[in-house]
Amino acid sequence: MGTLEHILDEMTYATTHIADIVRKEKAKGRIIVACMPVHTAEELVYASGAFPVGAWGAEKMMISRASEYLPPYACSVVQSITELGAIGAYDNLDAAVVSCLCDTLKCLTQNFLSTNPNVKMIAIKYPQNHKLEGAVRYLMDELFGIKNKLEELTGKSITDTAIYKSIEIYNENRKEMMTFVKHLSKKPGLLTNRQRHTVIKSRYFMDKAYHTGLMKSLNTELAAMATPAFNGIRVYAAGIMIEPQEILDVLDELDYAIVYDELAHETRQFYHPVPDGVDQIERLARQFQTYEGNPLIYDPFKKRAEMIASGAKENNADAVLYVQLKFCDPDEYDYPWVRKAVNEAGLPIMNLEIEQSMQSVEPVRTRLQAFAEQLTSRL
Amino acid sequence: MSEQKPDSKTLLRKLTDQYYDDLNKAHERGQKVVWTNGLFPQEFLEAMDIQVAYPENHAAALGARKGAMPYIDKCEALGYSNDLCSYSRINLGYCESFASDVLNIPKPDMVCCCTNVCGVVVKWFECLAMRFNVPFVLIDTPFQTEYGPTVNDVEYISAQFKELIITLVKLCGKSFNYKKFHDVLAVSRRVAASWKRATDYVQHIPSPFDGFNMFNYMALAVMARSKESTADFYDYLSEEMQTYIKKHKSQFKGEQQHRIMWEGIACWPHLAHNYKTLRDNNMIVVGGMYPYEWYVDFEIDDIRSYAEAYALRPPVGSLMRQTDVRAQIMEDTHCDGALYHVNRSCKLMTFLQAGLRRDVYERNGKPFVAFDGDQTDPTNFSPAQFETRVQALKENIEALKKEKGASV
Repeated sequence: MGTLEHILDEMTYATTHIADIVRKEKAKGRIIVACMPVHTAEELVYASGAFPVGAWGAEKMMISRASEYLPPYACSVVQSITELGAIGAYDNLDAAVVSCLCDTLKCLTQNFLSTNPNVKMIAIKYPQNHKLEGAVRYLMDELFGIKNKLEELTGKSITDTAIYKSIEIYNENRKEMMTFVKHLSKKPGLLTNRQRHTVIKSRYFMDKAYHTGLMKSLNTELAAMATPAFNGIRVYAAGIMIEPQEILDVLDELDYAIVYDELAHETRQFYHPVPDGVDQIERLARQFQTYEGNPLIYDPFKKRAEMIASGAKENNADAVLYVQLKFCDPDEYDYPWVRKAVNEAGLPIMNLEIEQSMQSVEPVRTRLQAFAEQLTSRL
Repeated sequence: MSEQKPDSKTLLRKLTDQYYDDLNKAHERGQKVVWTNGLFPQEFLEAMDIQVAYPENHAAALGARKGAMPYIDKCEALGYSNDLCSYSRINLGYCESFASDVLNIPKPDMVCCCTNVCGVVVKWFECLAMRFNVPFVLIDTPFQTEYGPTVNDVEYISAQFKELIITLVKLCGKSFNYKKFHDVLAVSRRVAASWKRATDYVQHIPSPFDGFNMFNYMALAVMARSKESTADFYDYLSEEMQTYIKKHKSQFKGEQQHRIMWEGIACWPHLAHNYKTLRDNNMIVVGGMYPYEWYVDFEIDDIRSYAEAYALRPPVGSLMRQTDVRAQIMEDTHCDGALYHVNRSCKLMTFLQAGLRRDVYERNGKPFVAFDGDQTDPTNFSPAQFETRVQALKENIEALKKEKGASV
């Protein structure tokens, strides 16, 4: 097997054996910290020596215990996290970092205290008015608080040097991830949509430095590969996430290629590097200040709409796939504006409603088939 | 011949009509109109002689007078999901015509909101800012994950006030009137004290005050919190309640057999049905969040105290604090049970409500029921379910009273 296949196999293993990975790390004596949606100061967790593991729910989860906490109209990601918490799947964790970036996540910070009283819940209260200097000071104070909590948890001090090194590792990983997504933008069909997703998702479950090593090798392989002949539909994906992964298989079967994305679960995680600076905590706070067009952060000029439209054009997309996670209010409020901007840019857009818990993707297949027919006749 | 004094409900209607009349004539008078949400620190706006409109209150009025559906339909036709808060759907639909037979508000020159109510307002008001191409200022009060607002939260909130002032100065083309701001703060405090004094009458047994009326009475605390006329009105209401006590009267026309806390906002399109059902079951609403919510009190010369006051309302932060507040309300108002409105339009409240119900019950052992409703979407409510749940609550309260040897 060539290097590409080895790397993809290793990454697939990481995304499908999360519990095993956590057990192995725990056996080494490491503190395990779940990083829940959407943005968490993962660099701080890494700097503490703890093992950060992504926790964005599980696909196709049957929801039962979560209904003791949530009515049916909570988004499926938080339903799934709550369900996993309630059935004991998170009992191996030492802590969980949850961001208060939407009302549903705010409620998760509280319900988690009941579902997992033995797991330390660390809430990260990002400031919505993030461009103000007062917000940077606020976030610095919050991050200091989180640093203290991680130090209590691990029993070890987190030095500025450790944070500096952690930021360097994460920025390096972000750089390689951006190189990766750009390869696939220029050469659609090089990997399947599912493989693309696996590569991105695997970074949640691997040591970041190690993952960067894999990414460098992968990017070298991809750079050397010829551009495949691709006559399918190039799409720009926007939204929270695309799971169950069978949806990606359907996209592959119907000859769609995701040429770029602004998904919360994917490129939004590595699009903004941590900026330079002398104060490491300030650097992390200022990274949040750089976020633009993020649907979970106050965006008075709705820059997101133009960014999606121009992003789609820049990546030669034929259409925008607005993957609407059912019950996600921020995306629901943004959709009419994104649609307007995308249509004004001369591109079609499809609002594809999904749930992480959906048991069958056939309705999605039907809609994507119809959209493909529409696009093909247009092209 | 002496003129009979109007009752408080008549006076409320008069003051509310006056507010909307002043609002709709604001532009004619050369005043700016700003749209905001109910718990915004509106004292800043009042200090600049701005007429403030409250789209939530407008939506509630449209809902109560059965005028919501055309705007909901219009909003959904624009591409907005029917999952969204119905206040926002009504408002976004209304923005396409500004033509209602029920009630109107003028277009905004600026919009602003505060996240103390929820995060949805940020997204809603982004849409409004884009729709009208007007400035949008946010006052962000972070969600309280541990208990109340932290020192860091209060510093951050205070820092945002400066940006608000800068934008108001640009909008109005004049300096910020700090003297008037100081005076307005004093009026707001007077309103808070008057509101508390009036709503405390629900603690009497029997209560002269029908707590269900708080949903309407609070309109002035929402829309005109910095007006002397609002404080005067709540004092008037207190005097009326005092008179009722002397005459052994009550606003509640049924038998006050069971005292309950109504948790959450009203189902505005179904007020009459809800009220009749409760009255037919001899249930008087005495407990609710709203006396607490509109008691916005602070030290006048301490901006951090002011920031903290706004961060503390409404009690939708940490589950522990929410439980403390509700348990205290039920104790102060001598509730026999609680009725929880699972409001389809309000995720921030309903996604913690299951835990709240359990925790409050653990504290006081009082029976409770929950029903599915919506603040203004008339389609998210089943009269039969409401009636059945209220009946179940009554049966549970009576069973508990019998068990304890109390009179049913």
